[in-house]
Amino acid sequence: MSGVAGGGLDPGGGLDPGDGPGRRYVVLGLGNRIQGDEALGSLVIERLAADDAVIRALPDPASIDLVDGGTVGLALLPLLEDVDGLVVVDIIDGGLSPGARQDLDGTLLLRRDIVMGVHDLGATELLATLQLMGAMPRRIRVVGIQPKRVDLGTELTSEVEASVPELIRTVLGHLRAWQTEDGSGG
Amino acid sequence: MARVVVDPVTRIEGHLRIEAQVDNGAVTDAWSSGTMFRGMELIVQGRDPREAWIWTQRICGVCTTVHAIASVQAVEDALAISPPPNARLMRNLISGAQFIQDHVIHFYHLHALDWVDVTGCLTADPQKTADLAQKISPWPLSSRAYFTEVQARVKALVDSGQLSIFTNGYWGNPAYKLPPEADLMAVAHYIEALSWQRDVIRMHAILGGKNPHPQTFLVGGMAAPLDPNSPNVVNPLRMDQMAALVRTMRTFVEQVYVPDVKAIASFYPEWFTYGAGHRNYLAYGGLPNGALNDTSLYTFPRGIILNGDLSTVHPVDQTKITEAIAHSYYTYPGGDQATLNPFDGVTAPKYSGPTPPYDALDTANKYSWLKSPRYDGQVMEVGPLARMLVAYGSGVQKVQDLVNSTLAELNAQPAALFSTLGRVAARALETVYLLDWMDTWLAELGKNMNSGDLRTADTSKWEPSTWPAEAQGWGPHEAPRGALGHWVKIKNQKIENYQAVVPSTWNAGPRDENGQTGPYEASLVGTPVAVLDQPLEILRTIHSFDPCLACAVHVVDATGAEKVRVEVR
Repeated sequence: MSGVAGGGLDPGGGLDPGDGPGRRYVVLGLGNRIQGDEALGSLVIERLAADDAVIRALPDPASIDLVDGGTVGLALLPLLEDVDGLVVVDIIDGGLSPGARQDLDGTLLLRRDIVMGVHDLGATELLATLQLMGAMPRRIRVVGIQPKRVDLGTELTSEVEASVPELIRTVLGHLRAWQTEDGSGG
Repeated sequence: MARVVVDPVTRIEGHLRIEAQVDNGAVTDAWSSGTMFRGMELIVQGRDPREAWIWTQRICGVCTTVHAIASVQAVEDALAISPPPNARLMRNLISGAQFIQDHVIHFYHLHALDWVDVTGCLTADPQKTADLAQKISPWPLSSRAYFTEVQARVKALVDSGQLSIFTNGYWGNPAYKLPPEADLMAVAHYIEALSWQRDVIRMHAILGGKNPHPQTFLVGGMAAPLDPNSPNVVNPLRMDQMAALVRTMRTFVEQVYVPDVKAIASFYPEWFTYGAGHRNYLAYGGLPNGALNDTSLYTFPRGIILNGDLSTVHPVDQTKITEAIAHSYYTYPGGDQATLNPFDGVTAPKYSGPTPPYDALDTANKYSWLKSPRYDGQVMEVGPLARMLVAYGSGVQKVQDLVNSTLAELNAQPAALFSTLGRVAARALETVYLLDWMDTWLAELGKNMNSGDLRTADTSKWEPSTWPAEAQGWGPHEAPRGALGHWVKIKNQKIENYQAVVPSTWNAGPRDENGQTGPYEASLVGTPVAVLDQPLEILRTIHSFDPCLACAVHVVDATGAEKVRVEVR
């Protein structure tokens, strides 16, 4: 079963988060729900979970975990260790016009030449920790949208909101490509 | 003469700023400031006292569970409710797991890098590292091949152009004294502890439904059902899982954590002479093994040690606890010189500090969002060292044995405990002390379950109509970081007043109305600082208290970014 995990929660009291045989893929949304566009990653997870028909249409839906990472923490580690594919969803400040989408190689997260959401350090540290543990995800993509406003507030700006559907298609595209490559569901 | 500013000091969320005066290579005076406002007390006013724990548990995301327990105990005290033994056992198991996990995380992930130079491990000889590791412990991950692999991973991180989680270290500072192989061994254990901590805290998922912030607390007991014949509650299978978790805790603590603390301490003997401060120690005590108010059966005894005199343990009378605001951004109806017991405590914020961004605090006047807690007018340090000293002075045999054998191994006198490394050692010994208790509590819970005693809550006073019109209660507890108390006044079934005095407020609070320095401030005086713009030694002493300013000031950093700003003027 695909499942939704909150920031470090152990959903359903499960004692073996992420364990089990077979491939594992994670969509990790990062975001602060009371900071305007900064909520993006968290909102995308919520929408994917609410409309799980799109996940079920993928080759191997049972191997996918949707993780609302909130503002990150070491509690997320067990959910990410050694997964076959990780999509990080976050706002990305690349100096573009508000609403512009980006789809980046995840190794960029280990450098400092792009500025991610306000939890940049958390995501970077999380991946560095996985690297130190020898448990890096096999593939990492970072997808996001150029924010317009990161300030106290509970709604996305219209520019960012307009780009969300295409962003979700990008997330699903990566999952589909990885699962096809890994021969899942066939 | 220079003033060194470290802001913030904590490696986790929270805001602590230290200003230190350095003359001739040593600290001569220091000021500790909490730079954000809490206000949880105001949020719970007027609410149902039975739900206060849900709110107050969110005071901190790291020190989860402790505020929930202090809160339900305060309400139980007010309403004269006695939780059944199984509730006490489950709370103790949750607390014990929290202590053990938290102490290990603190040592490796929040404090070790004050002693261990990460870049030092790049030059280590993996064979010598294996020799060292095998000499001090039977822990199996100690081969040359293993340390070679760990070294390669650290090197890959360094070669990637940035140190990421290790960015803020003062690598290469002359105050680092470990040989490279000890650096490499400690970094390997730093990484191992990451996996260990996420495993052992599953205890909270079993007893609390989730972690962080278990959801099974209840005024009157626990909402975690106990039933040998049900699959989804605490049953024999869950008991076996918990017993296995305690074994996992024990192996790592005994074979990795404690040997590392002793090995690292042996290279820094002078740190058993720095960092003492006032030498007054307070433990509320807690983790009861009988009725809530039977302090004689507490796992951690209650008491006070004054002026480092271990021969006398003084009693604790909560009416003598007061908070001062002379140097805090608050007002009291009685003015700035007044002090108030928490039952009558007032949380009235009034910021009067400089407009950010600022270079210096106005330390002559108000300079912190923390109040200054005092006992009978005296400054008190709280935490693992206070608990171990009170237990030692109270004649707890197991604590005396642990302390005496460790002192003998380190060739140190009891006075060495009053120091920066004394805090580090006390935290490790306390972790060992709790392991046996975990086994005891689990066995008792299993015995009760098998004998048919499945009660986990006393709900006879659940209905507010059974309550007196007015009541007040104190919930003393011990958090990993020290004595924690919640005070509640209930009137007409609602919270009339609520105050939480948390461990980091005791330790990190500012000067009081009589000019007495707080524990952090006093402990820094005399600390050497080798390189002015790398106040590594200041961090050693402050981190030895395990500061959790998320705990003392409670507002999560909205930027999420950790900026250790060091200014030298």
